[in-house]
Amino acid sequence: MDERLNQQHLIDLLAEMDGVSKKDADIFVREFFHLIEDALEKDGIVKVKGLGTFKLVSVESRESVNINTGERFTIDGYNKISFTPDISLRELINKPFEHFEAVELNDGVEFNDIDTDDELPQEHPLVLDETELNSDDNIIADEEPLSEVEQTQPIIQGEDKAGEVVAENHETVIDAVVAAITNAEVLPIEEEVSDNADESSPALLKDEDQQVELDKSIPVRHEQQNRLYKYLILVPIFVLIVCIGIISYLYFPELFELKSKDILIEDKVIVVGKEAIEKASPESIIADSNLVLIADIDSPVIAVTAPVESIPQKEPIKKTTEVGEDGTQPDSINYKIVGTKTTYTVKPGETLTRVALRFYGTKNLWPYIVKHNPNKIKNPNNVPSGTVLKIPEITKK
Amino acid sequence: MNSKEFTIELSRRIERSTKETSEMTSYLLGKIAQHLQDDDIVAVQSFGTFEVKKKAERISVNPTTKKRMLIPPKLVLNFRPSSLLKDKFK
Repeated sequence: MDERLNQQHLIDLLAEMDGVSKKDADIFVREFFHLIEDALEKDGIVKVKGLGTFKLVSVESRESVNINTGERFTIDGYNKISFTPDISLRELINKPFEHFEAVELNDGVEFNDIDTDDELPQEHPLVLDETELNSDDNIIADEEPLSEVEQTQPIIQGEDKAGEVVAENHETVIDAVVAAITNAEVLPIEEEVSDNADESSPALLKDEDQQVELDKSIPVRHEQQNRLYKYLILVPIFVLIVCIGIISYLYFPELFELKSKDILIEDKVIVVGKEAIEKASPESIIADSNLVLIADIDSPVIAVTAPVESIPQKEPIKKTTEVGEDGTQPDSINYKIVGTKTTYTVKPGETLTRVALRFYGTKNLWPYIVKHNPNKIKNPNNVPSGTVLKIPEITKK
Repeated sequence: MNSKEFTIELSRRIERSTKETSEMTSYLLGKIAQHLQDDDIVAVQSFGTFEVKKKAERISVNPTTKKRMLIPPKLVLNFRPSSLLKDKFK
């Protein structure tokens, strides 16, 4: 059958009716449409049962701008002809889709390709994949692994009917259907059902429409696939980086500036530090500094020197500890340096906080050591063993 | 002008009975509808073309209940008047 039905065809078809000659049919068809025209002119509205309603709608004049010259000009008002199909005709034409219903969407179901204010990533990117592309003939039947089989049944029946007509257009149809499937790939499950159904059957009817839509959809599908692949790769990499960060933090605390010095010593020494606060007698302080030293894994040798140093340190220890800091915050403002107390050689594995603890009884006064030895300490995080430091005498401001 | 008036006027013009004209009308419209179902387009010279178009699925929100509805795709009939007709009414 010809794709377009024109007036002549209509006349021929009408003439097939009993009791109607070709001449009659000709007159009838011509008058039919002329009458619509005239009636529209006369009344502005024509209703034809079984076809629909033709209405004249007036459009008012509006201003517009000439794109080339930029000057304003007026588009005059005019009358549009509007056509609204009859209910029976509407339903007849929508037959392939008659079983579809509007469905309420629950929250969390999102679609990409539809006109909507929400645009969120699709949920089922690649459900209908290459498998569909391969099987030409079985596409229509097989493409519904999901629910809502009822919807597909009438569609398939509808297709059977149309199938005969379309036999000639086989190839283009298959292309359209295949392409229709790829279009459906873009959309998540709920939509796929209706989309596939809708793509497959009207695809049989309307090849050209589909081609245009599908050209747009295929790049979209690729984009979305690419986006997904990127996510799938980026996320594990990110997780890996985080894990590495955590591990290095645990095993190589020197790499991290924040409170690492404190943390090493914290567990062992806080208890001892607190004891140092409470006891006021020199002996106990000596004993405590011994405790400190013993707790220190790396420096048994210093036990000898510590008692000597601990006595003059008594007051500073008290003062420093009385300041009341919790022993984790570096302190560099509450005291001033009044001279050099002594010199000290850094032992292997020692950090500034340990040295500060040794001499001041608290870790958080290490900044003063740094201040007092600017030429020796380039990087407070890394003071190599053997460095000779001047330990400043500090008094509270 | 409603359907009845249309039929009457048409029967007057072709000089046939209203019964006959209404029969012929429904026959003709049946043929048109059938052709639209199969082939999507019916073009009448100097009048216009009737076309079957597909409307895609869409999500719409009911403004009162705020519920989101998924409206299924559908086929609709479209009429595009010919230039002659359009000019006539300008």
